[in-house]
Order: sequence, then structure tokens, then C-alpha cells
Amino acid sequence: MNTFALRVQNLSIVFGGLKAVTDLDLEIPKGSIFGLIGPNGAGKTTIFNMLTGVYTPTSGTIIHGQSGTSLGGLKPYEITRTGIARTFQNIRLFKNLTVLDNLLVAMDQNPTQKKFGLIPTLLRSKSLMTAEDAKKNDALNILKIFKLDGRAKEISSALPYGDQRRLEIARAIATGARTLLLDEPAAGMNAHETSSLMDTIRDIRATFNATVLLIEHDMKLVMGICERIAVLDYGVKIAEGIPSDIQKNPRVIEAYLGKAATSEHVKK
Amino acid sequence: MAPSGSNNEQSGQTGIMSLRWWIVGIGIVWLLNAWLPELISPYFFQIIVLAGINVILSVSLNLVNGFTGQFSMGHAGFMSVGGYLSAFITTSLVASHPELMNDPVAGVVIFAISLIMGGIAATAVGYIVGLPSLRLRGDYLAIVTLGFGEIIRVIFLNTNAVGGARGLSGITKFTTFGAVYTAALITVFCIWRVVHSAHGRILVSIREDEIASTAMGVNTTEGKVRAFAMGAFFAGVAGGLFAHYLTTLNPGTFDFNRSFEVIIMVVLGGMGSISGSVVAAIMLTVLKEALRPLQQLTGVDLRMVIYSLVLIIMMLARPKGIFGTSEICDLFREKLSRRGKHPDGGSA
Repeated sequence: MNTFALRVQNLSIVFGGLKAVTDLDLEIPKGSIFGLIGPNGAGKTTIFNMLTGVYTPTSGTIIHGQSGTSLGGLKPYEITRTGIARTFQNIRLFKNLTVLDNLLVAMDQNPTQKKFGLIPTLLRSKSLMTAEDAKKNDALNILKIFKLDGRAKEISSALPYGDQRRLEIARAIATGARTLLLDEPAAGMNAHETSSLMDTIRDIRATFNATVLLIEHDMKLVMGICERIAVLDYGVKIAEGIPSDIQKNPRVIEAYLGKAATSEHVKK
Repeated sequence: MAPSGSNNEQSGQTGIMSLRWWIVGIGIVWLLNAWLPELISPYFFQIIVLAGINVILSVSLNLVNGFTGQFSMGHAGFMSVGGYLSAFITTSLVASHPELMNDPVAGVVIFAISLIMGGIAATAVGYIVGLPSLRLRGDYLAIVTLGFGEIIRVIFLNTNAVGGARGLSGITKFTTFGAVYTAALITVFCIWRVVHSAHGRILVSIREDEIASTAMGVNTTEGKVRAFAMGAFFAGVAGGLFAHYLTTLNPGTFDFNRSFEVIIMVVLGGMGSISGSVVAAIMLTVLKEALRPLQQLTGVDLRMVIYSLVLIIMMLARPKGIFGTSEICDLFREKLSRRGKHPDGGSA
């Protein structure tokens, strides 16, 4: 068993003449909460898209710790089935489906679920109905952990914003994935929702033994729950370490705030 | 809030969707089959038969266009594949073994097999067309499927074995009321059960958000191709029923107007509503015939004009179709529960 959940080596991607990500090395320890931060356009979401197979990297390798295999060349749905699931920066729920159905779609794809062909589906065989009931129960249990079980029958687009974000994480868990990539989970949340989200992320790590890699701009959340942070600027990793070190790192401060004016500039 | 297309109740073997009721339904159909042709005039009988065939077409297209959200415009193409193949099978069998005609049981068996063969052929064509074209989205897919429908028509137009432009004639009239409505009931039953299953959830998730669906581990291409192939199967069966009812087939019957007619039924009934498709198919088939006297009266073919007007009014009044994505039983249930919540209704 590997000690890392994901290992990225020399990962680069080029769009036309633009080097969006250059020679990225990352190792996400198993069971950790890992933050990926950086100014807008630094290439954070691009990295997520490469990790989930949406973009094919120009070069470099991605190794999944759970299976020890390379994710290169796999299609997005195949990557999800190996145990990596993501959420989206702009929430992408199945809007017209109920909260429960949103989860069931993900659970159907869980590799541990038994698959049924056309004939048992048409005849509604006993084993299929038992499996469906079990699936529903499991889904409700996940919803309970996310405190959404009371809203199982509601249409997902009718949920409050914070709940929609939480449902997206619940859905990622329901796929059976234990490596979660959260793309700005706190975007648009108020302080109260953010702090409850922080509890949720800690909870799921403990309950599901999950590894969380998250992109976030909310520094309170990032510094509050991440054990390790990598900072990206113009597609290059400029720093990596524990939160307190990152906060003091001059290159990080420069990337976010620009170069400090020297005393000579001030005199002029 | 309107309930979603998938997974409302209907979990077990109980209720109206249990297998038992559908077998009873097929039994009733065959009871009627013996009497109906004597009870009503051949004209009305024809409308009823055509309505049944249209139900099969619209419900099967709804699986693709409504539930999976892939806008296919080639349904007439699949229909013609099934129609021509099944007609070809029965005509060549009847030609080589004329004695089969005297045996009603053999006739029914041959007919049933030819329908299934027609359906399978349409499925195969659907699979071949779907695999490359379902990578396209929206308008592009619509154009490809429209083109496919035309290609199929031109192929039949130029194939002498099935009569070319003269058409295929002398098909035995195997299609009965019982056959059409048995097929229609089976179609509705199968598509209902598929839609309300794990397979159906995959299809609806593709419609809702394909990117999210992929991210949840759904093989979206496979899901779309499956829906396409299944829709094509029932279209093929409908084509077979159609061929053995009219007794002649002409490539012109399956031009894109035929596809549009089915699309109209699906849109009017509500994309993602099976009962909507059934209702719309029956409504439009009857409407088309009901407008015939008007044509005789005015001497102008106003049918399509009124047809379009009905659609425009419909789209203005109910943009999501008659039932939207819910089913007729959901609407009743909603009404009942609302009545339950406000027993007096005195506030109004």
C-alpha cells in the first residue's frame, strides 16, 4: 500500500503557446487534507482537469496511490471508477433530479455495486430490487452524514446554496471514491456556511478515511483545515509546506500582493 | 415543484406498473381484437391502429430525445429499416411457402419473428449510426441523424430487391389491432421500467449534465448509444407493424416529415414524460384525421397549418409540453395531496 493518495511528476500542459502548468511535482499524502492555492489563472483548475482526465497532459505522469497505477490515457469516467472524484467550481448537480437521485446516479457507478442487465431490469428481479433498496439505504446514510437526509426527496436545485455544495461532495463520496478533489468548495458561502463546511470536510476525512485535495481562495478555510499547502503561480509551484510556513513565505506573499516597494522607490 | 422524470415511487412489483396489470392489459387487447373490427367502421379502425403505431414511435423516441436529451431526427430511418426488413421476410416466405397463409398460427408466428428481426436490424443500424455520431452534441447530432434518415431513404429508393422507387407491394396484411396494441403496451412497459431503473438514472443524468455525469463515473457514450439502440428497436418494430398494415411500402413514406411528426408528438407530450408521449401520439393522430373534412371543405391542405398552430399555441401555453417531465399519475397524486393539505379550500 502506498503512503500517498496521488503522486504527480513533471506534469506539464501547453495550450497553443501558453504553458498553463509547467513541471509540476506533487505528492498528496494518504488521508491528508491538502490545499492548492494561487492567484486567479495560476492553473489550479487546469491541474484538476488533468487529474480527472478532462485534459490530457502534454507530459508527465499521475499515479494513483490506491491502485498504484498511472492514470495516463484513462477517460474521466474510468478515473472516477479508480477512486478519484471531484466537485466543480460552478456547482454541477443534476438540477431536476431529487437529492436522493443525485446520489443514486453516483452510487450506480460505484465499482462495488452489482450491475444488472436489461432482462432483470425489465422483470424487476428480486435480487435487483433488494440491491436497489440497499443502494437507497446507503445513499440515505451518506445524506445523513452530510445532514441532508431530511431533504432527500427535494429537487436538488431547490436546495440552499451551501447545501448544494455539500450535496456535490456527498455525490463524490457516493461514487466510492476516497480521493476527493474539491474545486473551491467554499465559493459564495457566508462565514457560517464556510465554518460548517470545514467541519464537514474534517468529518468525511474521519468517517470515510478520505484524502482531500482542495482548491480554495478562502484563506480562513485553507489555513484552518489543510495540513499541507502547495502554492501555484503562472503554472509553476512556488512553495509547498505547512500552513504557518506558507503564510511567511516571501514568494507566496509576492505572488499574491506583488513585490514590496523598496526604500528607494519610496524616496522617489 | 414538478417531480423529476425518474424514480418517483414505483419501486416494487405493486401498483399500476406491476407486470400483472400489463398482462391483463394485453389480454383485454386480444379480447377487443376479435370484436373491434366489427364494431366500428374501417376508417375509425385505421385511425386507432395508426395511433397505436404512433404511440410506439413517440414513446421510443422520447427515450432518446426526452430522457437522454439527445436530439435525434432520424426516427423514420429506423422505422423504415424495420419495416422493409420485416416486410421482406414475410413476403419472401409467403412467396416460397404459400400454404403458410392458410395456417393462422404459423402466420402470427412468422409475423412476430419478422417484427423482432426488423427491430433487431434497426437496433444494429442504430448502434452503427450512434457510436460515432453520439459524440456530437445538440444541433450537430440533430443534423447527423437527419442526414442518416435521408441516406436510408435513398438507399431503399435505389434497392431493386425491395422495389426501389416503385416500393414494396403485396405485403400480407398481418397487422391487427391486437398486434399493434400488444406491441404498444410492451413498448411502454419496457421503456417505463428502463427509465425507472439504474439504467434510466444514467440516461437522465446525461440529459441533466453530461460533464457531471462523466465525473460520477458514467460512461456517457455507452449510455447514449444504448438509449439510441433501444429507441431504434421499437421504431423498427413500429415500422414492421406499419408495413404489414398498409401492405405496401414506399421510401417516400419515411422521409424527414415522418421523423418530424414523431418529434412533434414527443415535444408536445413533454420531453421525459412517457404518458405525455402516449397522449400526444393519440391526440395528434386523431387531430390529423379530424382535420380531413376541413381540407375537403376548403380545397386547401390546411392540416399542416393547423397542426403547426396547435404546436405554437402549445409551446406558448405550456413550454415544457403537456406533462413536462412528470407523468400523468404524478399530476393526479399532486392534485390529491394538495386537496389533502387544504381540505376546505375556503381561502379562495
